[in-house]
Amino acid sequence: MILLPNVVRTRTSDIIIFIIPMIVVLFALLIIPLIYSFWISLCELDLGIQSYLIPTFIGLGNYIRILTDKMIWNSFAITVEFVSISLALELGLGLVLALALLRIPRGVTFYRTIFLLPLTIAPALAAALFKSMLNSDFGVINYLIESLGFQGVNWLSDPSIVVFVFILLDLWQNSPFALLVFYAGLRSIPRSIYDASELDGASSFQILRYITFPLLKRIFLIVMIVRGLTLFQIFDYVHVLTGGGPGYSSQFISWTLYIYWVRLFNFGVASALSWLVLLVTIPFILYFFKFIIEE
Amino acid sequence: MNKIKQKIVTSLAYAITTIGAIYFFFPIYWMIWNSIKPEITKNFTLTSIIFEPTLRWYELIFTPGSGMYIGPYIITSLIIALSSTAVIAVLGSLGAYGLTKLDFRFRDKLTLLVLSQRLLPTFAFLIPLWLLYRYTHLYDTILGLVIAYIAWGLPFFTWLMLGFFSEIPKEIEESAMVDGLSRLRAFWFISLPFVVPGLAVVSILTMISIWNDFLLAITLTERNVITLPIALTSNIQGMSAAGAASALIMSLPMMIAGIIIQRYLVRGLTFGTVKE
Repeated sequence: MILLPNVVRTRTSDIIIFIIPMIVVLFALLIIPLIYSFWISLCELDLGIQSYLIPTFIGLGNYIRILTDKMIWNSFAITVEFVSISLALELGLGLVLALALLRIPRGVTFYRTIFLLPLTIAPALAAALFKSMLNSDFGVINYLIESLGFQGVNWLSDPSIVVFVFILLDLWQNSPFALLVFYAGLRSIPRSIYDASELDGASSFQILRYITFPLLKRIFLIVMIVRGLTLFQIFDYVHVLTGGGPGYSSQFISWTLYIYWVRLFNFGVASALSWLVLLVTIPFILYFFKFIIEE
Repeated sequence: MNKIKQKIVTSLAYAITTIGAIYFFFPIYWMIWNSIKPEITKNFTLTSIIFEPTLRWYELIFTPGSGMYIGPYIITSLIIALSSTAVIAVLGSLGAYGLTKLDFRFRDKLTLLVLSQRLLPTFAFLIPLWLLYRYTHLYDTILGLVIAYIAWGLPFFTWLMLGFFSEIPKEIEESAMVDGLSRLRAFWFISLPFVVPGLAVVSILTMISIWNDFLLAITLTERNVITLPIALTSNIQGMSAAGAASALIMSLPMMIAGIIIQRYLVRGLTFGTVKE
């Protein structure tokens, strides 16, 4: 056992200087509000009540109301649909582009620079950008479609197409995430592994299936969890593109929550909804910790 | 035979990356095109790609009283992003140092607690914060939004700095402390200089996410405080010429920042779990 000199030992004053400020912010602004929101979720609390601070306890009423509400179930359903399709396409597109990027001898920096640009644009702005591109009168997309001889599409007013627009927008903005991470991961696989297996006569597909994928598995899971958690809370896009419409076709779960909160001022239901979303995400967060602890 | 195969693979790779580059760059090109088009009514056509560009939309958005003036929003956004990032940088650096170099009970648990705060859905803490703000009159104030961003950005910042601090060998600092440096001085003179690049990168990442944020700004402010993302998306239906120019002005600094720190981007996006 190595004895640490006295001066190196942690003192109480060190804790006060370094740790306490962070803990105070964390507890005052995140953890206590979180607990308070759980309390609200068990109460009836809306604008009609005299004081926000003295809500009426109603037990699981809000949760029961949510779980019996068809609209909210529908909201969950389209969110899950959107998340799974977007996630699969983001990962697929990211992987294809990363593999291609790995095989070009020159211009990697140029391509990488272009690929990372969408990530730096504000999501709300990206949505506004797509909205103008998809505009049926002056938008560029319909112009291109029509100049090819097809009928223009009512992108944002057709309930069966609108989720597709969200996916398209998300792919544009966020597949660079998977792309850049996969590229970093693929580059860390030593070239010699590929050369050896090529000598042994493995086909490109076999190399992909038996070498690349297993080595990428960890990275795949990390991207899936981080992206999945973010996608599940999709909000900016909805606010700018559709406001949940047409009808309820793009009423993702965060939007429903927002409506209950800011439009209906029903804080009880909104909080209960935020806790349900939280409960859905917790297993994924715990799973993500596995990768953290490995570090 | 192998050489031909190699060539095919390379050209295919170029084809894919080029199509990808067009896909990712086209919306940005469209934004630039719109911002320099001569007339507001001009529509995009394949033949109109070449025309006399104009900078008058840029002039307009910087002219007070033009109705498209974005000066105040830029200032609001700058004040908010800079001040909250500064506070986060101080608290986060201290905290991250403490979590890596100090010895105390619950250290590991506290570390995970910090990270979990960024992964948990934002709405869960936002609703109670909103109620609190209504009570304390922090609602719709710059101070209120700054406080919210500090809470929101601190876990992310601390978490990424943790990675940079843990790369410093313990011995360096310990020997300095044996030589008589206090803990605070050791932090300031020994550890901090080591992590300056990391500190810059993480601060930039934090600032990008605050500058670009929409959710906190739309819920915690209303009329008095209007940040750029809110201003640019609420009035402009679609994207007019002046809107496109404003959007570009707002995005350009972040694009440049992103390019500068691109070596660390992967690490930032994956919470330090994938390093390049």
